[in-house]
Amino acid sequence: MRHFLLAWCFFFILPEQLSAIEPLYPLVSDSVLLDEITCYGDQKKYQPGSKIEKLTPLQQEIAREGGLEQALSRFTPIYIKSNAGGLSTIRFRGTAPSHTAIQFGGININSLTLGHANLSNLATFLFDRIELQYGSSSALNGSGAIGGAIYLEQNNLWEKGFSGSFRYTAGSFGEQMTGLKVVAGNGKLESITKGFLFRKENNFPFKNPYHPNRISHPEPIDDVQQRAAIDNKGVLQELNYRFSPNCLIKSMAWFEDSWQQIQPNMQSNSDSVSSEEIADRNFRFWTQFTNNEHLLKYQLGAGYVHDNQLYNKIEDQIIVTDRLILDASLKQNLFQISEYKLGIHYQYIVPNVYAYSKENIENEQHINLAFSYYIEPAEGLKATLNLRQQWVTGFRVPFTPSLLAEYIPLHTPKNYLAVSASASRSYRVPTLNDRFWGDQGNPDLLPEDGWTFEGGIHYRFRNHPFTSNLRINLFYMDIDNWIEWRNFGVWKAQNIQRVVSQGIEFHGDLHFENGDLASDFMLNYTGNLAEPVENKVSGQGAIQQLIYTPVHTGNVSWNVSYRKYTVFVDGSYTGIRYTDYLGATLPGYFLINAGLLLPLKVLDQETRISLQIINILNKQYQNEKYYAMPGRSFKLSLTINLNFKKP
Amino acid sequence: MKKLVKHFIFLGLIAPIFMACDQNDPDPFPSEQIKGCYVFNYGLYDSGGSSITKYNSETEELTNYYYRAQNNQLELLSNIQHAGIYNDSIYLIGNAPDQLITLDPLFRQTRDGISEKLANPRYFVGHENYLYISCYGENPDWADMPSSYIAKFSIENQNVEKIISLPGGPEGMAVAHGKLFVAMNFIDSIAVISLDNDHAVSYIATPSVTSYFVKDAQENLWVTLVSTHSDPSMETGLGYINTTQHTLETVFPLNGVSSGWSSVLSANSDGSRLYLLASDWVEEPAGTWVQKGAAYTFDPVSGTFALFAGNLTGANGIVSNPANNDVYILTGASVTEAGSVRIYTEEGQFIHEFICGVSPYWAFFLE
Repeated sequence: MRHFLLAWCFFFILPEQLSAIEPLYPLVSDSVLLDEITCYGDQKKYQPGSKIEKLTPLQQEIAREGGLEQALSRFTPIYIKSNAGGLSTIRFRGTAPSHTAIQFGGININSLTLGHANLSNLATFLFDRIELQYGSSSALNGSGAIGGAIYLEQNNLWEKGFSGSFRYTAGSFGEQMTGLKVVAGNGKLESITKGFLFRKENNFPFKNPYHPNRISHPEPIDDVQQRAAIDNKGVLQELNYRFSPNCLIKSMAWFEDSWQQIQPNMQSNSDSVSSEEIADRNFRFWTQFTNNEHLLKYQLGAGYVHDNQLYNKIEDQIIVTDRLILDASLKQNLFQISEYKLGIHYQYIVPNVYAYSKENIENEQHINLAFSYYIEPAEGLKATLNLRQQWVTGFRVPFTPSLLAEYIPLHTPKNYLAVSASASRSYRVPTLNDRFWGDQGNPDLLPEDGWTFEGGIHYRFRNHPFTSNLRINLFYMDIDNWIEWRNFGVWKAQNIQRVVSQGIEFHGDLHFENGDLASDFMLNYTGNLAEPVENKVSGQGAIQQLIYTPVHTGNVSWNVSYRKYTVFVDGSYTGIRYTDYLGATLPGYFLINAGLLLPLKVLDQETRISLQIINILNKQYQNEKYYAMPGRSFKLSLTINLNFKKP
Repeated sequence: MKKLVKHFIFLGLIAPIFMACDQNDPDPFPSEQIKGCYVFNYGLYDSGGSSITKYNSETEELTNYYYRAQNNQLELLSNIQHAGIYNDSIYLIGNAPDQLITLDPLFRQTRDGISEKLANPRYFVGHENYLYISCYGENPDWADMPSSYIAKFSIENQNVEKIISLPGGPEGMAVAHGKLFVAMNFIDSIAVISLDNDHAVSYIATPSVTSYFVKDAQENLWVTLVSTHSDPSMETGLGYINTTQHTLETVFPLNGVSSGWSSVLSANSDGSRLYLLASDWVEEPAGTWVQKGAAYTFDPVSGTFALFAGNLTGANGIVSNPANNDVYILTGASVTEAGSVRIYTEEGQFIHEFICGVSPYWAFFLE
């Protein structure tokens, strides 16, 4: 608490001194571009210079089917470990899947039992904007935001009338997606309904070198993937009311029912008797009242999450968690050059997991106090201090500060140059499984605790018809008390490793637009060394790169549009990955995809047809060792937009 | 003359027999090539990575990936759940894919693995011309194991001839007095099956679930009593089974007996000492107590345990070298890192350590 008091005194005295001697700079709100009044938009302001990327509308349009992993693996240099079935996890900047916060409203949707979310179960179709924050943001997003954060965002249209869109996709290997979006509103009240059905048989052919008769017939055989079907469905309902442009209430209810067979590896593919499956049912509700009309702006939020996972239809082995979330924050602009924000976030968690003893846990409470201070002390200079303290029932969590700054030495109509630097602490509270699973849970665990230092430079050049961005970021992340499950007579979670992850990220894009012709080129590269530098059990130092963490990843995309006709091609490279700590590796691979979008006008309504070829070169590759991945495939989509808006 | 020709023909026919028995013929499995400790590393669950490590304690020659070396660099695809020798053949029980792999003493695989009617196989024991293989069955529920069974595998015909239904998760097995004793890992009992008619004749009630056996000179059995996640129990330790009376005669309590599916129980060459893996609480420098792995000896005569080696991380197995009674402790702290084998004298003095593959579960010695 004393940290807050110190910060409070410091940051309320300092601006007064500054304002007395410095000329007035533009209003804070003028200098930060906010997309919309959302939780995330607010967060962005308090992270000047942070690397935050947004999937473009075209990228989202291309990867509208299936889960989030499809879009991220094609258009970002973030490594996604996945098989061809429905299991995929993210590894942001060399960190573990549980080190990425996935924010939906004020909810981090990562499983409380596992610590991470299956990206395949997060349907891209349901979200209008998908934004990625690279690096630690625990001071703002709380536990788990060590490697990065993903924001699943919605747009509000506030239009009068009725509009909607319907999408149907048919693809290779039994892929089908039907999606519907309906928007109705009167300018103040708005209802947005989105629903989808996604199915994929996943019966793709592949060369199988690991077939059961390989001793007598050593050559690879032509095989077809078995038992890797996916059947997902979901609905997201928004109901929003705008009292005024700066005062509104929003609510989102999201239900997702995800089922997938657990893809067998290549050597088990012909074993026709066993079949494993996982069914997830998730309900997430978030409502938020925002009032920015007065000097003291405030926001109140409440949410509820029900997560239910069922393995192989074994009803006895229930894995359910319920949580109630309350959130409140207020902010105030001070002396036109600064702003502070105070927030409180509370969660009441009730697990119902067959392996937890009621004696150990019946419920758990989390409370977070957060303070942020944003200031523009000189022209072109922005800085933020964020502080957070979380309390968890029976568990100690570190005090979490972050300090970020961005300086813009050059800002002309043609040229823009920004340099940024940040230092931030991050942490992760161990999952419920880590602490309470049977007699193997370890309530004495320490939180994972890291520091991230980052520097970046961003140059933008604009000269009609060209716009180009170049961005380079360097990061150094040191995470201590990394939790792993180890065998200590019994398997137990333990704070084992200290991991250092460091690297360079490059982003370059070039936009050309002249009349009806437009073109976009984008290149991303990440070089990431991530090593366990200390093993607290064995005392060993660095052995090698972390497993399933490629040193090199990159992607490139190019599209050309003429009027509303678009042709696109994209490629992604995933470098060599270690699969164990004995030096076994999987080779890198480069995948190329291409397609086109064709506009049509049917009954005065806009219609689009899209055709894609995925993995054009029919590359046979493995993302996870021994798991087959599909070769060349095709996808045909029809999107019909219906618009009955009133002027 | 005709008679002489007949003799020559007869001699010609039998000559190869005598030639085959020529003492100058090379031994197909020479002792100097075979001799050593073989460690079977489970690998990464469902992701292969199983391997075999060969270590010769006399020359200290270490060969990791020995299966690959002997089989044209082929990977060992299944996770090896159990390995053992029976009638000069080495049998590997593999999961994902489920199969029975047969190797010659030089660890060469000459025929495809057998998968048919082997669903989630666990352990095997040989008797006469058969292998009895415990199996969890298709889609195990990991709670009651209603579909588990024993597969009776004909070595001669290379197929599963019979399925003996045995719900409750059969694990380790031993043959004694013409009966098959099966440690049940999901119900508190030991099943007894008559090998005359392959029917479960009785169950021996135990205070906890059981995992593996060691047979003594009277063909009675020592069995591990363990607490598992699906069937927790406070009464862990060693049980002594009278195989004639089908009774649990005595329980020797020991806390935290390892519930691992690996060689957690073994005996020295004459059965005068048993080795058992369990957990132990160790005081850290900060004054906190942490749970660590430990190896214990058990004296069957006095019925007492003694700590053999403590402060172990990732102890999966313990075996005794029948040639000199040295003790090999198999450790694998994580499922992605190399394991190691720590060698001790019978008195508990540490001698040597060598690196093996991921998750070493079983080991045996060949001369």
